Amino acid sequence: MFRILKDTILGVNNKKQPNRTKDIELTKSLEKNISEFKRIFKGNETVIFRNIESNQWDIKCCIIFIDGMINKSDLHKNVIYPIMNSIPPQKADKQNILEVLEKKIINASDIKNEKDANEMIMAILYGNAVLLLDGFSGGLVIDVKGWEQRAITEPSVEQVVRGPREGFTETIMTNLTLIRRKILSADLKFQFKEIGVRTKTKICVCYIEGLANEKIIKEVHKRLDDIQIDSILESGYIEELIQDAPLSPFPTISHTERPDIVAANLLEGRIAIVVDGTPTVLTLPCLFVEYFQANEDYYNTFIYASINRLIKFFGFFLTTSIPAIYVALATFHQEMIPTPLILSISASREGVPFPTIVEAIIMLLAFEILREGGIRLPAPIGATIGFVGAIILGQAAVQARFVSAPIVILIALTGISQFLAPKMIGPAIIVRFIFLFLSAFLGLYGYIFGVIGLFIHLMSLRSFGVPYMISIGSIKMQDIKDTAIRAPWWYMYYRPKLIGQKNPIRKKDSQIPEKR
Amino acid sequence: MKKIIFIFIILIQVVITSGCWNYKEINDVSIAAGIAVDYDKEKDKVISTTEIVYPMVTNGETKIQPEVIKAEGRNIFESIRNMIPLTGKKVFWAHAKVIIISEEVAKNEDILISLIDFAKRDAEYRDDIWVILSKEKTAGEILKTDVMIQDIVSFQLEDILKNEKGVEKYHSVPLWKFADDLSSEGIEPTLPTVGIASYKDKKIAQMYGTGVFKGAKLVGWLNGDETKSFLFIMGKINGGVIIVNKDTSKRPVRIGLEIFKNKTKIKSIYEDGEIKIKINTKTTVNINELESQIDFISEQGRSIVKKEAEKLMENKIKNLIKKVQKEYDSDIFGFGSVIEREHPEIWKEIKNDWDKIFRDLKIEVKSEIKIRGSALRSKPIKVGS
Repeated sequence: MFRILKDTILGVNNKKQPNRTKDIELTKSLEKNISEFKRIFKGNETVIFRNIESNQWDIKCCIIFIDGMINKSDLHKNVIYPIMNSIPPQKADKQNILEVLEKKIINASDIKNEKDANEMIMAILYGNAVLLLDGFSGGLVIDVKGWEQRAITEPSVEQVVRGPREGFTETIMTNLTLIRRKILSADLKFQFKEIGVRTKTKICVCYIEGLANEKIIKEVHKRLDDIQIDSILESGYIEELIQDAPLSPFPTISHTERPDIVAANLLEGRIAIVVDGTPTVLTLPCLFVEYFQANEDYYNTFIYASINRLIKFFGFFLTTSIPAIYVALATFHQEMIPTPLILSISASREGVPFPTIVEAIIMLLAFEILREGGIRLPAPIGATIGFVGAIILGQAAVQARFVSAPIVILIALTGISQFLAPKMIGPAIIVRFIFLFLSAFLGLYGYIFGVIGLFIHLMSLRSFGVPYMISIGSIKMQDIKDTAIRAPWWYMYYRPKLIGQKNPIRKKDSQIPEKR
Repeated sequence: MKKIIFIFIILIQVVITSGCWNYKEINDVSIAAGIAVDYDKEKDKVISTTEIVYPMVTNGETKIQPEVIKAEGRNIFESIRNMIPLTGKKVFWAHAKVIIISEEVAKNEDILISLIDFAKRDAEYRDDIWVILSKEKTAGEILKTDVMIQDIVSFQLEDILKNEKGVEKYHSVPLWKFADDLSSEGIEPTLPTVGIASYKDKKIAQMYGTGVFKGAKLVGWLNGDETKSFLFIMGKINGGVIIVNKDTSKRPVRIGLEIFKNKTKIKSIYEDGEIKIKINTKTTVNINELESQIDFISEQGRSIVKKEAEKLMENKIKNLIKKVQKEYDSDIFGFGSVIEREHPEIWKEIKNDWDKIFRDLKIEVKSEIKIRGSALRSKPIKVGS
């Protein structure tokens, strides 16, 4: 169904956008080259052209860089000072000055002899310095990157009581380092791409060779290469562009801000996509159960973790179903409510002007408004939201006979239980409203119909060829070891089915700790 | 496109074939708590009295206000529909707890059957609604009595019926049981009875005794004690008290026994062309109250108590059966169904003459009492010495 809708709504519109980089021709004259670059960067006053002449030998050169993107002291100490003050080596002559500079004079970890002007422009924009030399049509690209970056802090969305507290930053190389620090294996591969006609965003596909399925890797590359877009500002762009079921409320690509989660995913045979400029890393293929798996589950005792897991599943049931079941019972199946309860519901509904379904929608919307408002607002005003919300969703609304008391309790419970699985909030809201309308329309019958529909939809989803609900319907112990419960580590012999299939054995022996 | 049409067809099916299309808000219905049915012979009209519950919130507190509404009609359904002009809202029956029928109704077969039929047929009535027989002039009076703890008479009656254990002077009969007994052969229905008693300066409804039916017609009553023996036979006793009188050298002494467990087995025996019923009761009791200082707890004393209690039980059961056989001639014990179960061929033969056979049916009763202990004390209280 979604595929049909997708085709009709999105249509087929994959016309390639023309590459609009201005062509540039380099000559052997430094003056001309500089004026070419100045033409390109016209109007951009952060680009600095530094002309240098050596004291000791006869070279004229120009260093081009962007102020703020480079480490100035590095540039000064390792590039400008050596060029100005070094004594020319014996073998230096006009023909190999560039090579001599590259190999003997300039101190930089990464230096490249570049002939393509477009590459040079890209390098300047990415925070490198370009050195143009009189008499050469090429130049040197010197790595002196050094922009300001945020320190590694704990991500505020995925906090843990126990576990590593580092989170990804906005810089891709830092993020890759954080992953690399967890998995010191030569099999961990990083493959770079640039996506975005204007932004040229660096994207890195990470996987462990020998664990990840090559077909999935190939598919990921194919889908990434197909992307034709102006800009990639966040990994969400990529997520939406390469998803399997773009119209489903359930995302088939997971995301996280924690290196330990990415590492664990990679070790199960998954693939991670790191995008420059965002601390959110994508992992795929994604399964339904991943919403309910917190990284802390794996650090805590398995019994406690299993209880938490079950509570999270129960929370999902509650948050999607409470309003629907209440509306169905209160408007269709009054005989199913215990007598004392029906009396108190009836009493509290006396004088309320709206039907139960409208009440439920009002309260749900009020809750969502408060939630959304609370996130966007700055902290000092956010507190006000709390007070106002408590009044709106509280006793005042009941006393004003605007809504009845039971619905306040139920919506509060619904709202709170949605935070048990934070990544599930979006889908849960949509599913909740669908269930609510169905049960307002057909009672419990409609609700059950909605549940069946939801399951059919979930079962039909696939994430990069892996069924979304894989092993949920299984009764084999090895299949359900990490779904409804979190089995002890000494019992998890295998990696998840179909994902870590290339090398399914996580460990061989049971290694059950002996009683001592 | 095919898929969209397919989904559309399914959606239409969902709406058309659903059986739950009765949207109504909770506060748009009047919740009935109980109904009492009377019959006016002269006008040939059924009068139903309904207790309706009006919940309301006053100063933040939920208060439940009962209202008794009376309406009449040519049959039950009409009388119930005639209530709408009085209540303003449709009466909702799914939470009704009791149906009280008057003696007049119970004695008139047609009315009773139409009442049971209506209650079983209607979608809103629950099958486990309790049926009670009123001993007062009209059943409607019961719903107008004062209440002791609950706010609603019907709810109080339900509480009384639910906690029948330990009193054993009445038993609770849900609608399905009454209808089952009415329609199956070999057993006749019974109903608990309710009357009005005065307590302090209040008039309260009180459950006591049993009404005996033959077919759909009330034929007689059992009092509280007889009800207890009746429940012994039916194997429904799981608590309560047996009081044994024992003549001693000085004076008669009462010994209170608390029942823990009782198991009754009814067997039919076919011998020499004659059918016989054998009733075995096995009761586990505790000595709970001793009136004298005579040691009935010692082994010797216990055997005396045991023998006395067994004799008492056997006599009580025998007397009750004799009374029912002679006076009412109604097989409320279900002996017929026992024979049907155990000797199906013989039942086929005697089925048509069961009324006559039941009157002279031979009954053997054997009671067995097992004294388990003597509660917290092992000796009688000693006075003086």
